[in-house]
Amino acid sequence: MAIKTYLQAISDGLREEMRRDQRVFLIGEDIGVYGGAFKVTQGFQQEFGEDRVIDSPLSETAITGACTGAALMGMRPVCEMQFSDFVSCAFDQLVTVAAKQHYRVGTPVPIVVRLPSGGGFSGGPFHSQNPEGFFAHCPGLKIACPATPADAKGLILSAIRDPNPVLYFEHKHLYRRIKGEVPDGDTAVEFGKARVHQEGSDLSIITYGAMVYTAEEAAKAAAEQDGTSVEIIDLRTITPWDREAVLASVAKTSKVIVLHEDTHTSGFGAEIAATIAEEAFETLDAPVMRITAPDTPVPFSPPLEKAYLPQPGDVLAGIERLAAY
Amino acid sequence: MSTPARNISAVPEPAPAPRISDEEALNLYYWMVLTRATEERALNLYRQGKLPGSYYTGRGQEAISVGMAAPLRRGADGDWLSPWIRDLGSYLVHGVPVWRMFAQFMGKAGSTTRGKDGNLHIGGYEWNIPCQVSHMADMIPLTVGAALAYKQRGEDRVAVTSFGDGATSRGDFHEGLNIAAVLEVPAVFVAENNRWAYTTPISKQTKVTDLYKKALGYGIPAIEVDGNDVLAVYSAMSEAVAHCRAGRGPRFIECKTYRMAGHAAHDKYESYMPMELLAEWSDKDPLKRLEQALREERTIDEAKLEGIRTKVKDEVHEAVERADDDGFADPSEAHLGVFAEADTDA
Ligand SMILES: Cc1ncc(C[n+]2csc(CCOP(=O)(O)OP(=O)(O)O)c2C)c(N)n1
Ligand SMILES: [Mg+2]
Repeated sequence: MAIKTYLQAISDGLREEMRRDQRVFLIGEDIGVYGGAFKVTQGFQQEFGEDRVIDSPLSETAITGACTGAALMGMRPVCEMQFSDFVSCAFDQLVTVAAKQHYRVGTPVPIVVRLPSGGGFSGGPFHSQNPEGFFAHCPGLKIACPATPADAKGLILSAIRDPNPVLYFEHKHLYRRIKGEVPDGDTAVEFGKARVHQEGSDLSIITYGAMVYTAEEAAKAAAEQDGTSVEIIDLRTITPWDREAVLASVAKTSKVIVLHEDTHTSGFGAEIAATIAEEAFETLDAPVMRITAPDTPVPFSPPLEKAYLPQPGDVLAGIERLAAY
Repeated sequence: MSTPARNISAVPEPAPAPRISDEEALNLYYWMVLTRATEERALNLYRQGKLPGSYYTGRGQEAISVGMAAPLRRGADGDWLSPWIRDLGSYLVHGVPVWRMFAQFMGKAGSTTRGKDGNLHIGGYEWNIPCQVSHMADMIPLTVGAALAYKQRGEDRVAVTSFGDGATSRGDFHEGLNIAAVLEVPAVFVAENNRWAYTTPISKQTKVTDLYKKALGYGIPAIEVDGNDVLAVYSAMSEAVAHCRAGRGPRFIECKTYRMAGHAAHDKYESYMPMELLAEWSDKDPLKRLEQALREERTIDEAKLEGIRTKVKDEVHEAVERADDDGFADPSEAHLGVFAEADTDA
């Protein structure tokens, strides 16, 4: 067990899996010589060579499509979108080809697309997004959104070993800010198993990614204010997502906030809220509340971006409103 | 005789026009006759309302579909082939049984996609055919990736894909060619310039109507061939594949041809296609031309050709019967297979 940053944990997972499995290779823009825009793959090309750590042309479509082709030929490609925002350029290859391949003809596409995502540092409309919602709507793609260093490593290992296309969202704001214990060795984390970030009895917050920490701050304030006990469920993966864990938590607390950094309408929170309404109506003591970014692009200037991103204060206000029921 | 491939790029040395034996030429003839007979039969079935969905033929383009696939290695460990919708012949040559083509068109359980996808969206590991999607040019980046895997593992395999002139206007074509050149992968790109993309003539598709020039712009050695001459396509393809196997990077072949029917069976092409042009190209029919070359230049006995045609007739008849007798997949299968099960060898 060692204390590592979220970024180190991803890097360790990739390196260990590349050492273990010769089929794994990396491809992306500036990932080789330079080690990637965020240095997740620093030193990789020296260790694994240019054939397994490929500096590619600026071509998200070609990178993603080539990964699919190589995967069909027995490789385990991991590609990096320099920022998750640029996955829009690879949308067609993911949704049209990779996602539908196994359903159509039964041949698996074990690719991983790494997606540095999220806001909080004035990245503006094109370097801050959380585009997981688009892909959660598409059958055939798996989606991971780790929040902790242990999960960052555990989920990258599982993502690479999964026989399906996996979108792995790594939140940029967590890269160096979040440190935590990462167990040594082969610590793959199963997809579709939520984690109880903190136990509580009065209200549940269902969330994932960086919003786990926003929820934590709000929960702390609520506890200090009047002893409200908040349970935080970190989904870890949103395709598949852990319905049982969510419904169990709601059954226990009977009040729920669904929280994410993605925009509101048709965001993944809508799916969670609808499922709770369908399956746990009888146990609810208050309406299901969604707290999300508004339906706008991500603004650039610090005060505007702060107004856009869900803040601990927003979540605390939500907790107070639900407490009134 | 075959028209020698014109070599435009400065990069490779001129193609040493390989001598095609009578046996090889007759083999190509068999595949071309089988291709046309299969398509004609399927078209009849479609018109009788026996095939769901829509139906596309590659009539007039059989020289390309057959000539492109014939030089390749078949089987699971063979060469990757991702043909375009006009290339029914490619599927046959690369190993897909005729009855499964009909099962595919009918959506039967014996279709390679168990009825989950239709027409020439055919694939499977056993033939190393990935299963094309409708979206044009999407298979180009995939083909680059397959070739990349071969290169990374030091295998002398080749990845091949074909596409229409319309596809060359899409981003996947340009990104795919560019990255193939940069990564120096063993891929062969076959453009089928039939001068139409649905109702759009080549003049409205691009200012660079010689498509091979686009590939040259990306640094890929490229040639154009007479796409209605199967011996020319076969020679050009053989040479390109040999270059790839030798580790000399990608190749591009433009086959000049003409679309001899509507875009799909339901398309009223008389409304936009000049009929004179169609008549002119009908004289260049690839099957007629090959027959002529076999009879006149190679003095092959007519009885031998007739024997091939009879054999094909029987084969197609049996294939349709078998597909007819096949059932549909159970409706519960509509819900299955979105995700692959966990990999046991991980
Ligand atoms: C991306 C995309 N856009 C539109 C279509 C609809 N469509 C199918 S085939 C076709 C024309 C194809 O022309 P070309 O590439 O020249 O091939 P050809 O049909 O002539 O063989 C069109 C527009 C499609 N399949 N994919
Ligand atoms: Mg065309």
